[in-house]
Amino acid sequence: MRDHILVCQFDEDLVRKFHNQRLVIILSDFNQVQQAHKLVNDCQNNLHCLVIDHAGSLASVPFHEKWRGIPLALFVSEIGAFKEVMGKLPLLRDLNIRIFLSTDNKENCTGLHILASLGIDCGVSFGEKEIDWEAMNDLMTYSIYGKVNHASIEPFQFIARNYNPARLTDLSSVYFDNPYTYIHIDKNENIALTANDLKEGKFILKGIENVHKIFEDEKYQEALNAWQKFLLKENGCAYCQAWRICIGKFSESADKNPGCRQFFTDLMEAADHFISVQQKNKRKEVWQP
Amino acid sequence: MATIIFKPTEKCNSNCIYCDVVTRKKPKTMSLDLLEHIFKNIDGYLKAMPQEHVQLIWHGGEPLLLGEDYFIKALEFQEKHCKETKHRVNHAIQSNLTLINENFLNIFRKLGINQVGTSFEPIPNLRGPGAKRDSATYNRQFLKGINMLEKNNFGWGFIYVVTKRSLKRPLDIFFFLSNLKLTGGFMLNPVLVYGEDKENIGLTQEEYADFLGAIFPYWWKHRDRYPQVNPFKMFVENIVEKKITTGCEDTGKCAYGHVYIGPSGEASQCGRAGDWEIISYGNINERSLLEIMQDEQREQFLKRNDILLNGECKGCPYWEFCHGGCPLDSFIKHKNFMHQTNRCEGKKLFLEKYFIPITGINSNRCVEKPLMSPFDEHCRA
Ligand code: SF4
Ligand code: SF4
Ligand code: SF4
Repeated sequence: MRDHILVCQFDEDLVRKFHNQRLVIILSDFNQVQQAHKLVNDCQNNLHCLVIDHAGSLASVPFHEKWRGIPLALFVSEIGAFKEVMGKLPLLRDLNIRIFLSTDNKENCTGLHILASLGIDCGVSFGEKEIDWEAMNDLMTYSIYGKVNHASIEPFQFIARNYNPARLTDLSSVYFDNPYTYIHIDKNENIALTANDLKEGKFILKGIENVHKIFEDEKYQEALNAWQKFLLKENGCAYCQAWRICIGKFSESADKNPGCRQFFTDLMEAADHFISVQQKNKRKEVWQP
Repeated sequence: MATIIFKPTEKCNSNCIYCDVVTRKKPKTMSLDLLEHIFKNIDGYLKAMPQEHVQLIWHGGEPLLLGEDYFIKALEFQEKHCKETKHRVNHAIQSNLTLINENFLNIFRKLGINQVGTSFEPIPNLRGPGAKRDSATYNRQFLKGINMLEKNNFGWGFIYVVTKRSLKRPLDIFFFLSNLKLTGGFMLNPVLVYGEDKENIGLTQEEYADFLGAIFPYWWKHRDRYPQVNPFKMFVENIVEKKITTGCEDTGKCAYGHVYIGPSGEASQCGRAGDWEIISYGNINERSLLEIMQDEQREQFLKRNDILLNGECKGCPYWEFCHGGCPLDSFIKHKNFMHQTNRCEGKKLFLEKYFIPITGINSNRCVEKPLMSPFDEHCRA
């Protein structure tokens, strides 16, 4: 059983307590990027990613040469002034960064298309407002089937890469929120299975030293099987053909906005296509000296 | 391989709408003395038949109602009485999983069981305990059972019983079942109603064929995604790969291969024949398993192959994976075993209306020579 990656807010005291631990650190300020990176390394931990949720546009982000090599997930509201972004493009292309744009802004599907075509890895951040599944489908089609060179767009690439019809594929991993891989911890060492549980005080354990005990915890096993609640309902997501790659993520809006079904069904077909292309392109491997 | 459909109890904690055991009988449970006697008989049979294996399928009722100690006793009796033959005894179990726990699984491992057969129904109030068939409680317990099996690395597969209530939304049901078990691993069987259809769940053969036909085009297109969905996979294997992987009903081979033993030791051909009291091979208290397996009534099932092949089924391109269907179905319709069954029509309808046009695959299987009894000289050699 692989150890979990821990997700926490940046807190120097907390980070110092970890040892040999893979970490996702959520920053509140761009100034913390280098500091957090250095601290994680100094404490002999392994930085999986730094996350910054920026209320402003991409154009307003103060990118820095020294961010090179640091894994970053940057959530921004929109692209903003395009000229500004173009000016930063050479550096942006060089950084180990993925830029997420929210579905709450209708222009962002186009924004993601542009970023990917410029060679910047990016991703959809699912917001609160009604999702335009048709626009999402166009973006996904471009991401998976597009012949012209472009960078990846998540979570489409994640699904395509990880899809295995014999098991569920959970796109929450793209957002560091899948308890198979990630667990969340606060500065008081309260441990929760999702970001939301941590926010709502639904803790499963306390104390860094107890992290490895999580596998024995019944609540953990229950959380891993939480998707089964859909199988107890008379209608809804359990009857959806795309269930295995969505697992009811949009169940609350699916009645009012049922386009999710078609979108995820098409994404599953795209994943099938991706697998078959990969198998076709698999090069013969000759023995290595 | 001799398959023993072993029903040590008729008790059940559920009241499934399509089950004969709960509606037709006062539930009985097999005594430990009789259980011991059965293992002695299995040993005797295997010693007399040194090439044979026995598959003991624990059935019910709900076999887990017997409790863990009952299975421990079975293991003890096997150790005691089948010292030299136990490696030729394979156990399997069919359970509704609502009572499963780790203790059962530990005993099952010792009995060599590593997978469990079960059944499931997403439509509310068809499976479940009590007069109202509380499917919500049943399904919650069932899912817990599945989780326990998977956590303990046990395999599982299930049967879905197609009833009149399933006909409204075949594809939805298919999606639900394949979401429950992602690779498939289930069988879509038509409900069997013997006698009056009090619950109005019975299907015509056309309805069953159309139910399958509503799913088949989707399955065929995505069969790599859902590899283990039957009867589709079986049809493909039988027609394309020329394998014989059908269930007992279509093999034409059940004559000397199956036996049912009920809670009082009563013996019959199989679970259905026992439940419906159509054939009796006496009682294992009075006859040995070997005698029961060689009962002369069995010969009629073999003869049936000849009669059908030269009569009602003559020239049928589907003979090799149908063999005229289950003799009991013939009995229901004609009050004797020597006819085709009422499933003939449904089978042909599915193949000709859906399977062949959609896949473009036709059946050209040649008819092989009729089967022989395993007690026949040539066969034993
Ligand atoms: S795609 Fe929509 S209907 Fe299907 S599982 Fe997801 S939320 Fe439910
Ligand atoms: S009589 Fe029918 S159900 Fe019974 S074993 Fe034979 S084929 Fe199977
Ligand atoms: S499909 Fe009908 S005719 Fe053909 S073998 Fe079966 S029962 Fe006989």
